[in-house]
Amino acid sequence: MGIRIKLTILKKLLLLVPVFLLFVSTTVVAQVFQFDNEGDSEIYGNEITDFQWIRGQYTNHAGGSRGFGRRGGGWWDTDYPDSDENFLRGVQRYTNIDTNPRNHEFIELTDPSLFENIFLYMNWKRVPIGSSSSGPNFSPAEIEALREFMFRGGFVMVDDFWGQPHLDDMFAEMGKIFPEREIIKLNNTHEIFHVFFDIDEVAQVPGRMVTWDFGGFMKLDDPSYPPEVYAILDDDGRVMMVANYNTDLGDGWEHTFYKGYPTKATNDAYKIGINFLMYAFSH
Amino acid sequence: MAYSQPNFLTALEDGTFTFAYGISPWLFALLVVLITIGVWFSYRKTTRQLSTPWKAFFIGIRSSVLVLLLFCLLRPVVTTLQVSPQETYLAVLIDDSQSMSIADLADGQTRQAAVEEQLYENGLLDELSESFQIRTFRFDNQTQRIAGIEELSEEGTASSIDQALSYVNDQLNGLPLGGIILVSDGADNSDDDPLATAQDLGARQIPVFTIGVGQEDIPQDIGIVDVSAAKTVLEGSVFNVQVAVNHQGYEGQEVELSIMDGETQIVSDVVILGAEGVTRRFELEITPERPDLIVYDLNVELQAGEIIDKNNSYSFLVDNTEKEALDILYLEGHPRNEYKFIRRAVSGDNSLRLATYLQTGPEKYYRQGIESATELSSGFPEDREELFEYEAIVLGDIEFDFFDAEQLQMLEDFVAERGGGFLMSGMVDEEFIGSPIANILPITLVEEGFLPAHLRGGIRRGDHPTGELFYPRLTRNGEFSPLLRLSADDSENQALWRQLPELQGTYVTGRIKPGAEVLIEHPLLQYQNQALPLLASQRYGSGRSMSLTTASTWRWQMMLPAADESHEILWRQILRWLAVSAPERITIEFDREFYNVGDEVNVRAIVLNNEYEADNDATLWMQTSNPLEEFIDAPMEWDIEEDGVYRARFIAEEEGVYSLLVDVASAAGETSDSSAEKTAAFVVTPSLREYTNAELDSGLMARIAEVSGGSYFKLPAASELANTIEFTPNAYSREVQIDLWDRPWLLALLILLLCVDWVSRRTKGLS
Repeated sequence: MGIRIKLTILKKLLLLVPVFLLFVSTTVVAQVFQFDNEGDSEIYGNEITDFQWIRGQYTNHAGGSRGFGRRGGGWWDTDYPDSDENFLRGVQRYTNIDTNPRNHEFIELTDPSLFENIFLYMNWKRVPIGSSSSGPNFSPAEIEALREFMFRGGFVMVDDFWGQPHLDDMFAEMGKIFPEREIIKLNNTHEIFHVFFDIDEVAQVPGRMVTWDFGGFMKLDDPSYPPEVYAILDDDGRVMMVANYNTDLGDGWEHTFYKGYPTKATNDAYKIGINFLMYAFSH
Repeated sequence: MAYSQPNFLTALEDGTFTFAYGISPWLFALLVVLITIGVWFSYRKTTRQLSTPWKAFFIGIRSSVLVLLLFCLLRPVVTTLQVSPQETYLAVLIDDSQSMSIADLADGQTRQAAVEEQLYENGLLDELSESFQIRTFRFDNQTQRIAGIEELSEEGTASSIDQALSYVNDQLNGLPLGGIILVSDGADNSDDDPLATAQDLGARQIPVFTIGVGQEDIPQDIGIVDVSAAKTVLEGSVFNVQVAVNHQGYEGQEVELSIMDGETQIVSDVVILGAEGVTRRFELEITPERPDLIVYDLNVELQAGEIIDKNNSYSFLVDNTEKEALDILYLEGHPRNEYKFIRRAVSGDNSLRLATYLQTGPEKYYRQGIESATELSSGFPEDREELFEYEAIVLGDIEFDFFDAEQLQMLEDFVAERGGGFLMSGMVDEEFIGSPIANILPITLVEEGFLPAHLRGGIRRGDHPTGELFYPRLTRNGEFSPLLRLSADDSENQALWRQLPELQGTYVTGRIKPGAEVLIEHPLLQYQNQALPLLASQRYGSGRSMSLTTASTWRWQMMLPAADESHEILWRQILRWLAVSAPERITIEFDREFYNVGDEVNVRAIVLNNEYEADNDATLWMQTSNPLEEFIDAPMEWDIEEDGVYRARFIAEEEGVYSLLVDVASAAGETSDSSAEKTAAFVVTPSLREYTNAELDSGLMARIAEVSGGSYFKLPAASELANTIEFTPNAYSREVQIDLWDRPWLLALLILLLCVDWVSRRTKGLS
């Protein structure tokens, strides 16, 4: 009996290790790559622009809402705000979309101002992977807001899933929003991969913890973890929601200026992200 | 002048009495006096004494006998005009149009049956044929000679009395035509005036005798007067069918109106009829459900006691075939919400094709809605011909530098010469000031530097007034503009507009140009004492232009429930309005909205060349497919009087839908496949004309008789006709002298007088 109790405690501790590592990594990165706001403004401007990047803040499972001091709890703000700002910088540089790195915001899904936007980014990270003790646990009001947002013409991008358990989680969450719609895998010939950049192969953008310098559970380009993009279409065949699987665009944007991060991965993250955004603006 | 067989008294009255031996009536009067004096002289002495009264009596009797003998010896005659038996012709024109089948006479007898009874069964024509050579004709809007009553059909769908009179006049020209009998209800529905022809006939001494058939008032009837519906509808759209109904005797009655597509009832409504004799319009709403040429039947429920049932149904054609979409070129300067949602608004509308060219990044462009790999592949259309293939152009927030000078001029020509639509949407680059674009716009452009401080700051969100949220205000013109209608009902439309969410951001322009029209304006902000125009339009040359100076109509989509269609409706209406008036390369027109069997169909095709100028050098073939699906090819001939106009005509011989395909081969040989042919359709339907205003028009019938020197009879009195015709002067009447001396009453009078004289003398013992 005594041994069993000790083993259970040990298992719990072991499970907390990757969580701890992720927490440390995020904190360290945030400290090292924090941008100079004033300098940024001079270069990129700080006007309120036509386009504003919106990150969705959602209700989490209980496990994700405690203990890490995150904004409101949960993992919705993974990579925030660096990924958002860097991505906007890229959008500003490469496209004619009216924006600058200051035009980002996170809002609750039930905030009516959601409908003043056409593009919503959400990070649905679950920690530990395969666990339902964190990640999104949408309220009925949030589900309704997401459905309505997309039916009116809004575009939703979710990111950062790894491995089959996470895919199952992702499917379960998408199924809650659109129980009646099929989730399809987009192949590379889809218009969304050619609307701005021609992306003939969806590259894997490494998550720092999962694949790369923290010795995660998989290696980059491991064939058993193929990068894929799943989507839900509206009645006219337009993509209204994409989910990136076995890839992490958020990390790719976040680590733009981190010398140790592969530049190619960053570039790929921008390309895919910009294409999604351009598709949202044109469909 | 009264027409009847002449007698002594009427002859005296008319002055047509004479003595054949040339003795004047005055001399005759003198002889009468002399005879009387002579007789008086001989009665001065008598064998027996007579009292003075008796003497006077005998003088009177004897004088009368002698005067009577003198009268007869002098051969009194009456001179009159009379037809020579069998030497002149009489035309009998019988109305054979549908209105003659109306059973408004006693015992439910039809007009035609009454005519048959009077003319044939009662022997009127037989009687006339004793004096005349009879030629009988039937007429509706055409006239044919008939041999007998069995050739009447009552199927004519129109009546033209003028045409009938003229036809008879032409056909019997050269023959001694002594008169025309016109048997009709007078319900003439042609555009020609029969009185002029009647007057002409009268001048040539061909009197027209008219016989009116039917009742002057139809007491109980409900009739469809007219139905109007959009001939061509956009796919899936709802449209109104207006039906005009008139009635007699059913005031306050509830009747059902219904529209049928074959055997299927599409819609129905119960309406209450208003005051009798007043045409009232009712509306029904339908959505064509199949992409086809659809012939609908509109029915008004038949009521008990109605005299005419045929005017309770009406067929009309709606062309719901798939149309070639209106092509709109949309050049957009940067990805923005407005672009996305305009595209989405149009995506479900097959009547519009939006070919878009979006500048996604520096030197990067994205094409959508293109029809071929080459469309817009080199950016802005390379030449006028390519540009002019579009019907409208939208510029969205695009920079002046995107265009070169030639392209800007092409844009102005596109609107002014080609007649295309132009919309500038969102911000306007100040560089456009002084360019052809500034000419096209309905508003003047102003540099921001010249604006008062509170109007600066641009269209982006922010605390500056021009960046704030606001509820747009419809102007009076905007409220009633079909462009901005969210509902056909005025109050509902206003309510729907009030429910639209706020817009955000206004691009400030100067005053509107003279002749331009503001449809939406800013509720608060003004410049130069004029509310800032948000949506304004004007005619420019042959085309039309519009400016929309906000970039936030997408909020009508994102800030309203997904099911709300306001944004889609408004943008579709705006874009359609822009594009729809641009002339097509080939336009087909018919001279009428619908035809009846036997009508001549006049087809007019207007052909423009690649530069959208009238093309007089094309070759046109028209293929006609009739309701029996027989195909007939015929050329269309250029009308030398009109540039670019080609004509053809044929007779519609079958009831149903006719389809036309006009094929154009341009002499220049440059016609593209898509515009080289054009289809059109029309329907040949039963007509209601004959049942509208179908009462007996005795006024018209009497007037025709009067101006031609004839007489008007109502049908029951037609038996008097034969006598009247015989003694009515006409061009072929001859003068005849009728002797009076051998009249039996004269001999009887003479014998009577002699008897009286003899008996009286015996009584008085005279020798």
